[in-house]
Amino acid sequence: MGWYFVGNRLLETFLIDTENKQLYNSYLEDSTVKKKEMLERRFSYHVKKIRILSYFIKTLHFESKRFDMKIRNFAYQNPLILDKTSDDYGANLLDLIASDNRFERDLDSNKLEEIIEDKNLNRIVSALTAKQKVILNLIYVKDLQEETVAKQLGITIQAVNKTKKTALNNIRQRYI
Amino acid sequence: MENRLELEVIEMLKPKIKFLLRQTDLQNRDDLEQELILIILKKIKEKDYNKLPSFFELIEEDQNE
Repeated sequence: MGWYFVGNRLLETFLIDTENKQLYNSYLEDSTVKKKEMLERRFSYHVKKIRILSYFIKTLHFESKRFDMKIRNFAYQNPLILDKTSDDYGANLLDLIASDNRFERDLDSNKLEEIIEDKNLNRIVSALTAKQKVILNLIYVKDLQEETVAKQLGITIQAVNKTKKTALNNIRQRYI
Repeated sequence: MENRLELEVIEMLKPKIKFLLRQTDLQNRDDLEQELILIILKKIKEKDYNKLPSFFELIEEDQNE
C-alpha cells in the first residue's frame, strides 16, 4: 500500500508537467518504442530530481549548522589580532579602524564635546574613542536610526549597537 | 542532461539556501552559500540511483489498484 502511494505521487507529479502529459497521451494513441524510451528517460530524471530535493530539504539544515560550527571553532582557536581589546574601554581594535567611506570624513567626532556642558560628563565623553563619539553623535544629536548610522559608516547594525552600548556603559561607570 | 539536473535542483533549493544563510554571520554568508551548493553538487554525483522505479511498471500497478 505504501509503495502504491509513492508510485501514485510520483506519477502525479510527473504528469503535472504538460510536456510529459502530452508525450504520454501521444504514446497511448500511438505506442512506439521510441516514445516509450523517452517517457522512461524523462521519468527517471524526474524521480532523481524528487529524491535529491527531498534529501536536501531534510539535511541541508544540518550542513549549514555544521559549517557555522566550523567557522566558530576556527575563530575560537585562531583569534584575530583585530578582535583584541585595545584599551580599558573594551573597544575592539577592529572598531577603531577608520572606514574609507566618504561619509565619515564629513563627520565631526568633536561635536559631542562642544554640546555637553556638564564638565564631568564632558571629560568622560572626550576620553571615548573617535568611533564611539561619532556614533553617539549621530544617534543622539542628529537623532538618526541605528540602521541609518550603520549605512553611513559602512558597518553592520550590530557593530553600531555594540559600540553604542559600550560607550554608554563607560560613561555610566565613570560618571560620578 | 546531467548538468541540467544539477542546475534545476540548485535553482529549486535556492530559497531554502537563502533562508539557511541566516544561521551564520554576515561576513560568512557567501562562503556558506558556496559550501552548500558544493555539497549539493557532490551529492548529486555520488548518489546511487540503482533502484529507480520504471514509469510503465508504476502505471500498471496504478491501474491494477
